[in-house]
Amino acid sequence: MNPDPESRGPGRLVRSAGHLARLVLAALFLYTGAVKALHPADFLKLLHEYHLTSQPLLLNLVAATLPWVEVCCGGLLLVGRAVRGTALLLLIQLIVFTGAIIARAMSIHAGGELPFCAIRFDCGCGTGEVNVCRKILENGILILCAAWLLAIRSDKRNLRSDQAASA
Amino acid sequence: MVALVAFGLALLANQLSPRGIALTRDYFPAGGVTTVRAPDQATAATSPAATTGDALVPGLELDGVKIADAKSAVQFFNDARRETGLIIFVDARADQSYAEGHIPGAWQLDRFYPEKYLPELLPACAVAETVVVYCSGGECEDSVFATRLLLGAGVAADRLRVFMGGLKEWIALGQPVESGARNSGEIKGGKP
Repeated sequence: MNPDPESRGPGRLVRSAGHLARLVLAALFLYTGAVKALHPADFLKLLHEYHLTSQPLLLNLVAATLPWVEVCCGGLLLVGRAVRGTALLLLIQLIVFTGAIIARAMSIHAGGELPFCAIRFDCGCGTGEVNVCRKILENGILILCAAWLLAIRSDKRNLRSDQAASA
Repeated sequence: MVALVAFGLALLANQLSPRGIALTRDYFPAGGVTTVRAPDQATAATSPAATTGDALVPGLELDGVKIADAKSAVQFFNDARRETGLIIFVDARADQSYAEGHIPGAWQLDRFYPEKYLPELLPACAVAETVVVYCSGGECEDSVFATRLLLGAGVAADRLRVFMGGLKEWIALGQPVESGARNSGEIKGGKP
């Protein structure tokens, strides 16, 4: 019999959901990060289409580092290290890029006759051309996963990792 | 802390990767010409950007580069001077796209990695009277940027042609396409 009350009932459910969210984010960011890291020039071209900045250095820096940051975050989540710090980083990234996707889709929508949810483009997310509404929904789920990981109380191992990382 | 470590590792990975991006290079020069000091020197410098998108093409025309339509591209391809290297085609797409299919005998110039391609390509450009640059066609801008790269590397503007229709128009016209390496002989399509 396990003496820890959190190993049963709602506590166990919360932890299981946390593990699931962690593994989903890990798998996704490992995959999409690797795809982009293998073809950084393609990612740079797609990133350029967002017109986020006119500074080549900044654009190149984002294109060169973001895929590897994603791979790094995916790896950390997979092994369960520095989970909350990684979740915070991914949460910020997801919010920024979801905003950029919405802005770009609205710009396309304003310039043509396409219904918003009929718009498709390669968002540079590592999964090729996507339907914009579906992508926003997917990102919403990922944002919830990252927020969940950030919000739930870490288990002891992750807490130690976070403490070591912030030391 | 996680962000700093990940960012540091990412910079290192980009530096070590053969496909890494040169952080200081302007890969999307709009108003200026990308200049490459010499084929064996990796560093490129770029003048300030002025415009973007479709405005690139008139900019090239002002530089003296002509735009080739599909009919002209086919004529250049069928011209006997192509056999002697006086007319050459340059494919401005990445490795995978080039290997999947290119205009037979076309040289490759992936503009993101000019150091890899220019040393072989520039001597061929020096001999050629006409250099036809193309990419996928449609919204593809790589042929325009690659042309700017060649201009910056010293290829005379009056020798350069940009085939804006690119491979899409080429294939639509039923012209032959070569797969694999340059002059691999693996040719598909083309009118008998």
